[in-house]
Amino acid sequence: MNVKKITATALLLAVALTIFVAEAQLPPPVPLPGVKLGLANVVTLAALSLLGRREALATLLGRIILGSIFAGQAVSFIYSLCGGLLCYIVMAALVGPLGERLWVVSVFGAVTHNLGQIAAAAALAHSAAVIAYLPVLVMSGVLTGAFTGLCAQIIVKRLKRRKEQ
Amino acid sequence: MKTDMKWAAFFAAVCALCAAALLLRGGTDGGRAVIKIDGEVYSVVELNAAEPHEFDIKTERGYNRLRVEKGRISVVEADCPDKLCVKRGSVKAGDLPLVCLPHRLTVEVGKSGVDAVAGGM
Repeated sequence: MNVKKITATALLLAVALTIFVAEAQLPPPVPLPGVKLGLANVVTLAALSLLGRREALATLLGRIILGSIFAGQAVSFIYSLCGGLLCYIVMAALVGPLGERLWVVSVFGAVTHNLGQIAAAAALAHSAAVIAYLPVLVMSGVLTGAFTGLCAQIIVKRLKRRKEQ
Repeated sequence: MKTDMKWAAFFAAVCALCAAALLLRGGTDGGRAVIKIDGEVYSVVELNAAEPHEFDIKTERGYNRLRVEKGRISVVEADCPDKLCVKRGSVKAGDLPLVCLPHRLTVEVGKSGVDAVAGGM
C-alpha cells in the first residue's frame, strides 16, 4: 500500500463510520430484527471497486469495530461481524466478474449479510424461531442491496470519470 | 441495460418466492404462545382464556413486560438497547415470532408452538 492508498482507505473508513453511526440514530424502517438499509455498504462497495480487496476489508473491519464502540452494543458486534464478513467475501468474489454492475454485487452481498446475521442469531440465542425470518430478510436484502448498490455504482462512475480528466 | 433487466427479473423472482413462503406459513392453533429464553421453553401462555393481563420476565440479561389480550401477545416494556421487541407491537397466530434478540427471548404463536409444547414439557 502506498501513502495515497492508505490515505484514501482512511478517508473511506471515516466516511463509512459517519454513515454507520448516523444510520444507527434513525428509527428502524420495519421493527423486525435484521432489517436495515445498510448505507455504509456503499463505502465498502466503492472501496472494492476503486481501491482493491485489501483496502475494502480494512474499511469494513475498521467500521465494524469502531462502529460497535461508538453506536452499538456488544451484542450487535458479533452479528455485524458475521454478516459483514460473509457479505465481504461474496462481494470480493463477485466484483471481478460483475464489476460493471455493482448493484448486482451489492444485492448478493446484502442477502448474504442477512443470512449471516440470521445464522449468528440462531446460534447465539439458541433460537430456531429466528429462522422464520429468512424470507423477510432475503427480500429486504434484495431491496436494500439494490438501493445501496445503485448509490455505489453512481458514485464510482463519477469518481472514475473525474480521475480520467 | 438488457443484462440489468435480466438480473432484476431474477431478483424479483426470488422475492416472489419469499413472499409465497411467508403467505403459506401455517398458523392453525392460535390459542397459545410459547415463550422461550435461550432456546428453552420458559412458559406457555393461553391467549384466549384469560382476561387481559401483563407479566414480567426477568433474566440476568434484562427484563421484558409482556401483555396478553384477545388472542394477541406483545412486549409493552423492556430494557433492551434497541427496543425492537416493543416497536413490533402485538402478534397473533401465524405471525412471525416476536423476538428480543438482546435478551434471547422469543415468543411464537401458532402451529410451531404446539410442537414446541410437546417437545419441551
